[in-house]
Amino acid sequence: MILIHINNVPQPLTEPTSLAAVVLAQDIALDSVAIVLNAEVVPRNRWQSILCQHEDKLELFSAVAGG
Amino acid sequence: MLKIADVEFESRLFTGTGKFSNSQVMLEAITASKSQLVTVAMKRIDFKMELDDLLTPLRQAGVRLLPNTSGARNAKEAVFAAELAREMLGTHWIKLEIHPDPKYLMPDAIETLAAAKILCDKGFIVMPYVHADPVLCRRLEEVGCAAVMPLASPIGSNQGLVTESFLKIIIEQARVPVVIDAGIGAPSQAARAMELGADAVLVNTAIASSASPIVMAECFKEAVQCGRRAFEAGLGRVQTGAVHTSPLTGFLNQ
Repeated sequence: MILIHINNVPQPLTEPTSLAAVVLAQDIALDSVAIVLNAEVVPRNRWQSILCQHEDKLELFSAVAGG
Repeated sequence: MLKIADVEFESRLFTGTGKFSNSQVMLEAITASKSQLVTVAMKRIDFKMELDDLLTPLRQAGVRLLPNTSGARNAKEAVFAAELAREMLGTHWIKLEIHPDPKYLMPDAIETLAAAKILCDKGFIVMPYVHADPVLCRRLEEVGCAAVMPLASPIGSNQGLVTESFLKIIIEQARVPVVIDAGIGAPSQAARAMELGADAVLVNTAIASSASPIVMAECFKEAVQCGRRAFEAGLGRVQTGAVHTSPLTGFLNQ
């Protein structure tokens, strides 16, 4: 089993899963987030091809109101 | 028409999305303001909270988004935030703001200049929020910033153009658009900024915190238009003494 952490919340994966699929599984629209994988911002064009590895740390960011 | 980088703006009023009571009011106020450039911030998602969909209504409104780097405490974090924004929103535009001091939110000039250089070299359209420092604004222009955003007074303070003397110097010297940001608390202050020759103003708190944000947004729209027209028409010279406007002939005695 692969165990990843999404914003510090442990998330087990039963099969190899892309970053894009992980986001969609959280019920989050892909065009509303940015993904940081192990402290690196991941370019959007790689979200489909990168598969999560055991102990990966994902951080998801969204837009919020601000001036 | 105002042009920043290669984009033309009909409206010289930029708005923020913070502090509105709800997203419907925010959207209606932004629509009423006719603003075409709207700031957003970014935050790590907290799965315990319900996700607020800020982007869908803003995208539907057809405004250009200007993500900011608020929360960054130094140049490294600001560059990271800009890269986040680029992947999230698909824009190279970034409002660069680094203000680690929580009380006055004064922008850190040294970190801001360092981040601006890196981001310009990476191809970002950089609009830095800075103190009203004419020397710093020149340096930011030299490293390739598309505009400068000097503050009128502390963020959200509604104090108006506390830095007016220095804003005048910045406007006189700038070869990139000058967007006066922060502290503008009343339409009259926005009009004054435009009369000085500012290319645009950014207003958030004064609209969002008003009892009637939609009406206030319209007031700011009109004030900015009025101030700009007055600037273009040319204001009279300020003089110490009186200069008569009527004939001084003592007609009663003639």
